[in-house]
Amino acid sequence: MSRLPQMPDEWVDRSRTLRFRFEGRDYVAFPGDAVSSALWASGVRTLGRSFKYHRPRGILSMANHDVNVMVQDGQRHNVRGDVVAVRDGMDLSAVNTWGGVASDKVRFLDRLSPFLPVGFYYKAFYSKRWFPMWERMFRAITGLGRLDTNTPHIYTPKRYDFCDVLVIGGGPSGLSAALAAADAGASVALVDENARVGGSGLYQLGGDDARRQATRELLSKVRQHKRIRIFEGTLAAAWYADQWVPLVDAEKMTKMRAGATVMASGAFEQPTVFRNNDLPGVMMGSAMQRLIYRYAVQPARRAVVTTANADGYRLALDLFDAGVQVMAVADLREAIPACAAVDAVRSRGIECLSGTGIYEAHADGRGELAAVTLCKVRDGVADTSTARRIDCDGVAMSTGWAPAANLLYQAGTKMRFDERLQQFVPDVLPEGVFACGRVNGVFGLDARIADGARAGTAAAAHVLGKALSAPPVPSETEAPSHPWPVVAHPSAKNFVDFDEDLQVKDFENAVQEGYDNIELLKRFTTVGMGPSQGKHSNMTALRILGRLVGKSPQQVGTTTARPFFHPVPMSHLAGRGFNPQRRSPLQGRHAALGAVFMPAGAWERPEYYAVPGKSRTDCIHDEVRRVRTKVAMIDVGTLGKIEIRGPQAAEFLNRVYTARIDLLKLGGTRYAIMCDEAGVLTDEGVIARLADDVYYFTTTTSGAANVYREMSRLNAEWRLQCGIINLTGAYSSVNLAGPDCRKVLGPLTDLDLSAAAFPYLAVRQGSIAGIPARLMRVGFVGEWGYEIHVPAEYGPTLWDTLMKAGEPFGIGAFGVEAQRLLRLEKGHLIVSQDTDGLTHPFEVSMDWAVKLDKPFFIGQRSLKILKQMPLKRKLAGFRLPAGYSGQVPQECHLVIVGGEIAGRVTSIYWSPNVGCHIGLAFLPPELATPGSRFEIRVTDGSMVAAEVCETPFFDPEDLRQKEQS
Amino acid sequence: MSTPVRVSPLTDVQAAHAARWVDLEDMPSVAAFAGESEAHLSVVAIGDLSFRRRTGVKGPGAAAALADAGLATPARANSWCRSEGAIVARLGLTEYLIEDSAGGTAVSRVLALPAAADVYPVPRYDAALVVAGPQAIDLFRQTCAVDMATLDATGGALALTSMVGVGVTVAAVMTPAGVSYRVWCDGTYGGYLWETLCEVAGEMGGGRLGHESLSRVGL
Repeated sequence: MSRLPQMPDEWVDRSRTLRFRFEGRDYVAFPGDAVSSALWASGVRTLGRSFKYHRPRGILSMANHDVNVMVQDGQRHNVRGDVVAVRDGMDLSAVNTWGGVASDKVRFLDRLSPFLPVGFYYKAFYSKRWFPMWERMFRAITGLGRLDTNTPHIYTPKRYDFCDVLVIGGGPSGLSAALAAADAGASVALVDENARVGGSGLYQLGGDDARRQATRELLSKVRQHKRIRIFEGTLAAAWYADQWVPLVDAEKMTKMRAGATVMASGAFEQPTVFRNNDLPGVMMGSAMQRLIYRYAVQPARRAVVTTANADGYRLALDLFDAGVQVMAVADLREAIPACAAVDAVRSRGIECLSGTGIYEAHADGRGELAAVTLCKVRDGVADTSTARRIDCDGVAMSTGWAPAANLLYQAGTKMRFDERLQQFVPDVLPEGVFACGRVNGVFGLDARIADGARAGTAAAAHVLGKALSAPPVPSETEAPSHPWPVVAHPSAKNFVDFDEDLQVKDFENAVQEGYDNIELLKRFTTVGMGPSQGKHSNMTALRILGRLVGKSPQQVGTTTARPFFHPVPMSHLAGRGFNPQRRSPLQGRHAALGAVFMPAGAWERPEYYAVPGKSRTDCIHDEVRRVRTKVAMIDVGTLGKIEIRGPQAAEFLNRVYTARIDLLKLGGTRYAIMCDEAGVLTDEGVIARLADDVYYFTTTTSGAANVYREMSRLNAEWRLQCGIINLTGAYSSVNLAGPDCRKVLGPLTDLDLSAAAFPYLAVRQGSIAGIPARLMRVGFVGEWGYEIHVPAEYGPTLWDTLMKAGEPFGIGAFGVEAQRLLRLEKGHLIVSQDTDGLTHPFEVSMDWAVKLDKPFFIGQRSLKILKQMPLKRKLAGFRLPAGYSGQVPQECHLVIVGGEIAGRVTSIYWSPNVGCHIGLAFLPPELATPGSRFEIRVTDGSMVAAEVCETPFFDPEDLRQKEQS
Repeated sequence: MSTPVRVSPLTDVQAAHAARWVDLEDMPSVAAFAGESEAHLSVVAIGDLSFRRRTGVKGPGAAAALADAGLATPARANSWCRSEGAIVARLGLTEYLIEDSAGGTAVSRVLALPAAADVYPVPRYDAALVVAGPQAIDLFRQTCAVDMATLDATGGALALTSMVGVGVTVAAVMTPAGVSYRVWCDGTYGGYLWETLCEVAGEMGGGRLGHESLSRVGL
């Protein structure tokens, strides 16, 4: 093998050379060379080993499907040698070998193939007894490439893009489609997975330079067109709804949103099935043409062409022009149709044999192609009496094609099998999706160009809403694919799937075992499940199954073509991560005070404020002590904050909450809960009535978005005269609590803070240091306190003002953990911590909050039923013995009664104000009475005794909410 | 009692990079960032216009109420127009965002409207950004699934979408510096949006600009 003289459109740059290593040996390449082309040019023909039998393999497609030529490139593994360009200094080794390609220690597996029948994996794993042995063995010998867990994180940007018309495939039909669409006024993105556009128009020439010129002219116009953007080296990896196509290049994935898609994705050439059709030197005809015209590499010195279409004759001419001695063109067809290419081949003295196929290929001592035996072949059966051996180092297979229709299938295209073409073609295309060229069953060059113009024009018309027309497309004159490109052989090794080493007999055996459906056959044989995903095996497998079960390809059908069309690096899928964080207007204040933040949904909240030299627990207890004895402040701006206005605002809330909101007095607040249709407690908060027709209420932090969304939906359904405004981000809120809170707040506000003027559970609107504010007297933490809500832009100013005013009283901030402990001391539950997805109000002793006599509220019907039924569990307070020093139960630890799970802990803390561990737990109702004892199983399996007690644990008379306290 | 200080929702994420501050409409804003360059405007520049006063109204009577306040409203849903220097953005069918120009009175007039049964005030304390420069579209293409190039800078469609996972409203506006983009989002998401856009812009060779640079080019 050698480099050819310079080709007009070759991809290699001969001005300099690159050096690289493969399997420990040094080689030279040109920039632009693929690994395989560089090695082939250097005379290396065995480039890898097959997956199952470790047979030597060489080039097959040069089209990104050569899965037996995958190499390890440092930390990059499974690099496809047939398309990945050589870099200077690369040090490559073949994957899936033990000891290298040349001396693979497990190549003996090829001789064991009779003992590795189809379905071997399933049969091996079936036995429990032998499963461990097989598992260890398979794990040891399988796997492609070596994963280096120290591989650094690879940064991949994420990008969106847009166009009117996306053309997938840059061959003649794609170029023509792009041009037509752009000429009609559409913005066009032309995508091709190859390093350069042009496709087969620049390598399937048949010795006719006019074919190249036609493609070049198109290419020139496309490159100059201002409305066409070209994406080379970019794979259209999938098709999703609304014309959403991920485009994958070396660096990133671009999410392309198109107005219309033109599939000009071409067709995959299919292998001819004969014995030893996998020897290095046997390859697709199009692979040889790519080697010649893209890389200027002579694919063989003496070659035999096996064909069944005009492409094979054009291939023979290309080989002839490249100096290859074409020994024969063996045509499977009984009669060779007359055409210019056939005449041209004959005129060059090349022997053309009709009704002839390759019966078997023969290997030399290195396992590489040395000769073939040709026979007369009728319907896949060789007449061995006509056998004739021809020495050669190259076999070009050109007996048929399969459409690259994966994305068409994903788009929902209804395909039909065209008997005349022997190919699946689009029958009914989805709206906005168009197909042209080989994938559309159009193979002649002029016809493909015309078909592209037709599809491009139609796509532009679809997007632009114009009435446009294009000239008709000439019809095909011959079938590009042979209906049975299979030659039987008693010794098998006639491969259908090169990924998985599947032979014809494997399919016969699978069908005999009952796997006679294409989906079952696929899973049992694993055909099409290798890295190339059946691009060169599915069509033949389908034909074999059809023949075995007496069905046509149309009746057999195809397997599902799932995204992604081709393997995509995981880093591309990840891309730049966007994880939106919500930050309180007071975030900077918290950070300045040493807050240790914890996630709370999309928010980050201060868990506690760290003090140098103090433990987390001590810091939390200090914060609790400050609330109980002085004054402290917590940021509660993460609570959902919603306003509802309008004459029917009360009616709306009455339907959503379980309480009688219409009876809430002006200037008053009420703790309220809401349920879903099943009566499950879903959210809670405080509702304040600011005016006759204005209510302001809070929701849980985690429930805010859902509550607003559901309320908006209900309002749209009920059409009540009211409007709902989500103020969660528009208002900043703090809870100022503690015995001295009025001393801090009083001088700053125009409001009368006396108990008479501003009683417990009242709401008032006024100003604090000139800031308009809404104040609610609530007692979540069990102290005299005010929840203060102000416009978000004044939140930091309010915080600073209160902190400054509170300095003489020892004010400080307290975090979420202190608040959780303080509320637990008061026996207040937290929805979603002390409740779950099944909890109804009666289980948590909230009967008082449910007004079943209302005309309607969400969940009412279920709650009426639940009210009549005995409780299955009940949330109750408990305590551990004072002075308990053993392992402390944690939230979600189980309550065990009689060896069975009877409940679980939902909250537990050591309370400095009660002097022992206190908590809440779901218990069987009969246990949930004060004084009952139960056991909690902790992490190490031991049991901890606890006693049910009354709640609140602290200040049960609520004296701290009263003036005299 | 003195006027309380308004604080931008972006203050916390800008403070570490600020070189100079200036009070704008009672809100401390970054006059200049350390090391900023107006050359960013030749790539992509991001500025903070949160100081501008804004408010909102929604409800069946919202358009009529705005008319009472002397403001024109866009005829189509999800579009915007200018009225007496203010931006009036129609978000959906019956919700409006009004952002005043410097020294404008549109917001105060809307806030002074009498209560009405079918008009619901919507307080707005958004993070308000401006994105300018020839590669602004490229910035959006790395951060948002909507094609901002389709927005008409002479007044027209708004994009109500998600950018870096944050709900945003985007309008293209014509400025002396050319087409630029206004981006509004809930203030509590503003810090994240600002940091992320600045990070991507930085990779592109652009970056943040303070008010002095923005005002010099009429943004």
